[in-house]
Amino acid sequence: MHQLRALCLLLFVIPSIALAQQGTVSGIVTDAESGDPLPGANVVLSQIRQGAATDLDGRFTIPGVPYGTYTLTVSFIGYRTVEREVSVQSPTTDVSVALMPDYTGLEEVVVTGIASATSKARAEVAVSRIDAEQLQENYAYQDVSQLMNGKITGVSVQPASGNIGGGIRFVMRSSTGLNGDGQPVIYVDGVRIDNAEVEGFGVGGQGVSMLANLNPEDIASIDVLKGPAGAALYGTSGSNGVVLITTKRGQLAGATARPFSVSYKGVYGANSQAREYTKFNAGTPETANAFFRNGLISQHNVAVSGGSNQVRYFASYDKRLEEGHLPNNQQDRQSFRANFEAFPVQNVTIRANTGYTLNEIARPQNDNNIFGYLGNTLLSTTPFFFTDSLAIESIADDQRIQRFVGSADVEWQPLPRLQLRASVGYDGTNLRQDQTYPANLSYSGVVNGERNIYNRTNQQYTYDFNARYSYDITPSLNATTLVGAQAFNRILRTSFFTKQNFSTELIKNIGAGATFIDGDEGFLHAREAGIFAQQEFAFQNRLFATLGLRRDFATAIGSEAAAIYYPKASLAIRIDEFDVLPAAINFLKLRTAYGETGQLPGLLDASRLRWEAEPSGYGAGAVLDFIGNVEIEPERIREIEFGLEAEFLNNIGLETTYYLQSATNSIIDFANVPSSGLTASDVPFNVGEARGWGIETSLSASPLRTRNYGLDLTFIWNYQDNEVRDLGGAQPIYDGFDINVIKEGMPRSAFYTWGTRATFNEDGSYAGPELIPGDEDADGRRFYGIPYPKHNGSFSMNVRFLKNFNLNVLADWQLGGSIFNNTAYFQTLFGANYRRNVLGAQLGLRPFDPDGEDGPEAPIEALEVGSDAYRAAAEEYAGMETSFQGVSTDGNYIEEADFLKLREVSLRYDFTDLIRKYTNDQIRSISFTLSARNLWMTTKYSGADPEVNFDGSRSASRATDFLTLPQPRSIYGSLSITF
Amino acid sequence: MRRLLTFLASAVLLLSVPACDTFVEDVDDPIDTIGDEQLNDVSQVPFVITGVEARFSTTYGFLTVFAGGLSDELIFDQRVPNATFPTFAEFDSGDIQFANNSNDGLYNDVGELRFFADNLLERIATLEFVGEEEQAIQREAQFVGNFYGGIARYILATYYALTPDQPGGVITTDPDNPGPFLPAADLYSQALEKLEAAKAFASDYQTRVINTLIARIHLFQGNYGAAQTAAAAGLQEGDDPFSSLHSVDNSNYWYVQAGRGRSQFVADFVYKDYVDADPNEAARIPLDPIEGNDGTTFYRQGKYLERTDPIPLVTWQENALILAEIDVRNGSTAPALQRVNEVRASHGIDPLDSVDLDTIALERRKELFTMGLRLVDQRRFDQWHLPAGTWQYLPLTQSERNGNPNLGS
Repeated sequence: MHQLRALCLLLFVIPSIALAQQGTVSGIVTDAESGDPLPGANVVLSQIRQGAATDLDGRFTIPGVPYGTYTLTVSFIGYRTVEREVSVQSPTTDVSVALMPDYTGLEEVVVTGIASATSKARAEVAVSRIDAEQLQENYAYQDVSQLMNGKITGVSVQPASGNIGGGIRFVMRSSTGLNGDGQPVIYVDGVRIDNAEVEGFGVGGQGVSMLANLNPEDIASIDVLKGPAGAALYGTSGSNGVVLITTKRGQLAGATARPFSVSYKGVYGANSQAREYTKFNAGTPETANAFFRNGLISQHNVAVSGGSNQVRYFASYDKRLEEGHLPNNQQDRQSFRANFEAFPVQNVTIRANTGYTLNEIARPQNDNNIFGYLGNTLLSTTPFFFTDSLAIESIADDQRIQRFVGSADVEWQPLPRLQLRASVGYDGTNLRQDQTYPANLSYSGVVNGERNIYNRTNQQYTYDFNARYSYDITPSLNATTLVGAQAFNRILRTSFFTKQNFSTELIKNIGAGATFIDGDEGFLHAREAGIFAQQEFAFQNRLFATLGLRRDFATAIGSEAAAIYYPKASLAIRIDEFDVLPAAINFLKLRTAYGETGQLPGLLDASRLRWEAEPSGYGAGAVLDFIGNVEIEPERIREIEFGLEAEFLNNIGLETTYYLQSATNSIIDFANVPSSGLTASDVPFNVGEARGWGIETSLSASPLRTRNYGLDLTFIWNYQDNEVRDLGGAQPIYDGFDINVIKEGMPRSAFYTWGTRATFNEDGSYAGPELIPGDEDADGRRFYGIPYPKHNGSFSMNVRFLKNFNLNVLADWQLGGSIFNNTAYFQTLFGANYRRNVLGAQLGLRPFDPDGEDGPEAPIEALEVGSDAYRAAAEEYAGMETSFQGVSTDGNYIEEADFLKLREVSLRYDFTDLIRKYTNDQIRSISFTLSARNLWMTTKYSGADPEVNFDGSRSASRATDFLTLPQPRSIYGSLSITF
Repeated sequence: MRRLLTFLASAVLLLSVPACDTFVEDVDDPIDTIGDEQLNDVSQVPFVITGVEARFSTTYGFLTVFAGGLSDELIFDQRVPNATFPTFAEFDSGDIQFANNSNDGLYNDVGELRFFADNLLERIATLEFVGEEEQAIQREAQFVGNFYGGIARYILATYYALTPDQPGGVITTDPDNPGPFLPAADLYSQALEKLEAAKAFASDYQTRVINTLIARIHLFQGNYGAAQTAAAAGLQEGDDPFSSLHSVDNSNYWYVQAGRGRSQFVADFVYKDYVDADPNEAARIPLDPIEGNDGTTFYRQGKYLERTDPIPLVTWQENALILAEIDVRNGSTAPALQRVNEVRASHGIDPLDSVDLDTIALERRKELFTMGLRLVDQRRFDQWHLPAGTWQYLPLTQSERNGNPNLGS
C-alpha cells in the first residue's frame, strides 16, 4: 500500500519537474596563470547540488538546471576554490572560470580534530595533509610508510629493517610521553585500525607490519594530528597523535564524457642491495654480498571510478608481488576495494567503504639469530659459522593474512545548520603463520625438524556519533557547537603450537611431528569510550577560537574503569585581514593551541599480583605473571603550540610551529630488586615527568610556472628534543640490553653506558684500556647520544619541463642521532673486526695478515712505540674493547647515525597529448614513469644502513644495528593509463 | 530551537556517562592469568605447591650448568658448533659482568623460588584446612614451603657474592625497602632453620634428604662434627636420588644449552681422560662426543640425553662421600676407604687401595659430575683453576645493585 502511494506520488511529481523551465550551464575552467585548460575540476551548483567534472579540454556542461540564481563553486586540487554567482535565465548559460594555483595549500580542507575540518587558512592547530593521489603519479609505494616519510613536518615514519612488509615506527614530534610504544592511532575512513607489528614465531627480531596490508594506491589523502594540541578530543590513545587515512572516492563524471573512468597502473622493477658489504664491516663480505639478489617488483592495479549526482563509486583491484633483496623475503598482496557514496535526498549522505586484503609475507632469518643470513656471514671470518647455508635458506616462514576494513557512515542534515553523523567501523584480521625447519637439515636446538603454527585473530569495532550545530550569535560572530561520543572495542586471540621430530622433510603437517614442544593461547578484550563537547567561534574572517572537553573511560582489569577529563583550547588570528601588512605578504595567520590527552596504563596494570600456570615436570604450577599497582592512572600529556602560516608574493609559503609537550603522571615501571622475587614484571607507578619541545618548519615555493615549465620546491626542517624530568626517586630504567636509559636529566632512551680509552707505560708503550670516567651516581656510565635525530627533514623538488616531462626528487636527512653498532661489537668478540685486527698488529699485540699467509698483501707491521701513529692506534684500539672490569663497553660502538639519502627520484613522461591525436579521446591520459628509491646515501655510519633496529619497530631497544637487513634500493617503471 | 538542542545535547552527554562506564567494564576476563586473591582457597593450594616445585626445577637447571661453567668442570669453546653466548664465555673465564643476562635469569629465579616458597607458607597460614584430605595438603604445603625456602637460601649462600671475596646474597621482603646484604653464614643459618622446620612435615625419605643437605651445608662451612651427625641420618645406600623434575616445556637446561639440544658448554677434557684411564668411569661420567668446527672432538655431558631427564640434587653417594671426607679429616682412613669403594661399586668401578683428601676431592669430582658442586670443592680444596682476581662465585646482578640502596659493600 505504501509502495503504491509512493508510486502515485512519484508519477504526480515527475511531470511537474519536466514542466519547469530548464537551462544548461556550460563553460571552461582554466589555470589563471598559464591559461591551460584544467581537466577534472569539480563544478557544482551549490543550492541544487548538481554538478559536473571538466573534460580533457577543461569544458563542463550541467544540463537540466531550473531557471534561477545559483552559486557556482569551482574547485580543483592545487587551486584556490572560486565561487561565482550564476543566473540561469536562458536555455544556455556560458561561464568561464580561471583558477589561481594554490601554491601553499591554504585552500585545502584539512582535519583539525575530531569531527572537525576546515581550510588550512582557518585552522587553529598545526595540520599536515598528504595528497596521496599526486604522489602516486610519480611512485608506486610498497606501503604507507614510504608514502608518508619526508612529506610532512613533525612526523617520520621509518621501517625497522629492509624486510619487505616489515615493521614501521612512527616518530611523532618529540615523543614526550614515557609510556606506550609512541605510536599514533590510525583511522582508515573512520575505522580505528590495527597497527601492530606481529612477530609470531621469530626470525631474529623483525615482525610483520599490519599496515603492510593497506594498499597505498587506494589512499586519496592522509591527515595527521601530531600531538595533544590537535588530538585532545580523540582522548586517551591520541597522545601520540592521530593519523587519518581517507581512501579514494568516486568522482563526479563530466557530462560529456562517460559516466565512469577506468584506470590501469602497471609496475615492473627490482629491489637490490643498496650498499655492498666490505671487509671493514663484514667477516666474509663476498659471501654476504652473494646472497643478495634482484628481487622482482610487479604490480597491477585496475580502478573504476565514477558517479552521478545521486551515487558515486570507486572500486579497485590491486596485485603487488614484491621480492626482497634477500632470499626468503617476499610479499604477495591482493587488495580489493569498493567505496560507495549515495545522496538519496538533498540532506542525507550515505557512505560505505570496504577494503579486503589477502597478503602473504615471507620473512628472512636475520638479526639476533644463529640461523641468520647476516649472522653467518658478517660476524666471523669463517662463513656459516653457526648454521649451514642450505639450512638457512631452507627455513620457511610464511604469514598469510586476510583482512577486512569497512565502515558505514550516515550524514543527515535535519535542519540547515544542524548536521548529525553516525558511523560504525570494523577491522578484522586473520593471520596464520607457518614456520618450518626441514627434518633433513641440522639446526641447533631442533631435533629432526620443527614446525611452528601461529594464529592471530584481531577484531576491532569503532563507533562514532556526533552532532554539529552552527548559528550566528551576531551577524559577524558565528558559533558552532559539537557534541559526540566514541566507542572502541577490541578482541585479540592468539594461539600457537610447536612440534619437532619429523621422520621426513617431505611431510610437514604438525601432526607428523613426534615430539610436542610447546603450545599456548592468548586472549585480550579491551574497550574504550569517550564523550566530548566542543564550542567553536569565528569572528568575521579574522579570529577563530575553540574550546573543548572530553571525558574518557577505559577497561582496567582488577580495578574500576579509569576515567579522566581532557580539555583543549585554541585560537587563530588572520593578521592579513587587518590591512596592516605590506603587499608582498598576502596571507599571515598566527595560531596557538593547547590540549591534553593521556596514555592508558596496561590492561592489567591495576591488578596487584597475577599468577599464571607454568607447565613443569611436576605438572602445571602457579608462578607469578604480573605485578601491578591498584592506584595506577593514565599518563597525562599536555601540549601547547604556537605557529604561523604565511604566504609571500602569492607563491612562497612558510609554516612554522613551536610546541612544548609535558608528560606528568607518567607510568614508570619500577623493576623490583630480584631479591624480592617479584620480578615477573616491572611495577607501574605514576611518578614520571618528561618534557619535549621542538620546532617544525616547512618552506615551499613555486618560482616558475609557465605552460611548458614549472618548478616547485619544499624544504622541511624539524628540530625536536626532550628531557626526562622526574622519575619519582626511581633508579634509572634500562632496556633489556642495558643500554638505552630513562634517567632524570637525560633525553628519553639515551644511550648510557661505558667506554674505554688507552693508557700508556712510561716508555710510551700501550698499557691496556681503562674506563673513561663517567657519572659517579651511575657506576661510571656516560651519555653516548640519543637513538633518534635532533634534527631531520627533507628537501623535495618537482620540475615540469618541455610540458610533458616531470622530474620529482625527494632527499631526506637526519642529524644528531646515534646508532649502536652491535654487529661490529660482536665482530670484535669473534675476532673478525678488521680494523681492530689491523690496530692490534700495529701495536705489536698479535700478528695480522689481512689476506692470509698465501695472499699478496704483506702482514701488518708494528708501529714505532711512542710515535704519534702508535699512540693514535692505541687510542683507537682501546676504544674498541667490548668489556672491561665487569661492564660491557657498548659505548665504544655507538656511532653517529647522521645521513642524507636520495630517497625518491622519478621521471615521468605524459603521452596524453601525443596519443590524443590518434585515439579520439578514448584514452584520457597515459604516462610512463621511471622511479627509484634509496638511490644514494651519505653517512658516517660504518654499517650498511643507519636507519635500522634489530628488534623491530616497537621495542624499547632503539637504533641498534645487530645483523639487521639494510633497506634495499628499488628501481621500477610504471605505466598508467586512464580510459 | 537552540534551547531544545542544548537540552538534548546535555541529556545525551549525561546519559552517556554511566553508559560509557558500563560499556568499558563489560569485557571478558583474561584466560591465562588470575588475581592473587583467587588463590586464597584450599582447593588452589596444590596448584601453588606445584608452582614452587616448578620454579625449583628451572632454578636448579640454570644453577648446575652455570656453576659447572665457572668451575673447571665445563669449558666454553667457540669451535664447538653453536657455542656463541658471550655470557657463557664470561662464566668460563671467571670474568663475569654484573649485567650478564644469563646470570640474571638464574638470580631472578632464585629470588622467585624464595618468594614462592615463603608466600606459600604465608598463604596457608590464612586458610583453614578441614578434614584429613585437606590437612594432608596443608602438611605438604608446609614441607614444600620450608624445604624449598631453605634450598633458595642455601643457593644464595653457596653460589652468590657481592664482591669476589664477599659470598652471600640478599632477601627482600618489602620491595620498597630492599634487604641488606646477608653474608653466606647468615644465609646458611636461615637455610638450616628452614630445613629443620621442613622435617616436621617430611616423610622418612624426605627427612634423610634433608639430613644430607644439612650435612652438605655444615661441610661447606667446615663444621665437620655437625656434618657428620647430620650425614649419619642422611641418605642410605639404595635410596633414590632426590632430583629436579623436567618436562618437554620445562626442559632440563643441560639438554638445552650443554648437551644434545645445544652444546654451548662441553665437559673439560680431563673427564675424557678419566674415562680413558678407566672405561668403567663412563657409568658416572657419560660423555657424548661432538665434532668442532676445526675437526677437534669435544665431549658433551651424556648424563641428560633427553629434555625430560631429572637432575639429582642429592644422592646417597654424596652422603657417603661426605662421611668419608670427615673420616679422612679425622684420620679414620679405613672406614673412609670402605665408603668410597661402596660408592665406586655402585657404578661397577673397581675399588681403590687407599684414600686421602686428594682422593676424596677427585672422587667427588667424578661422582658429583653435573651437580654444580665442583665449584664449591675447588674453593674448599684450594684447587682454583683461573687467575687470581677472577670470580669464584656468581656476582649479585646489576639489577640487584641498581635497585638496592642497602647493599653496602
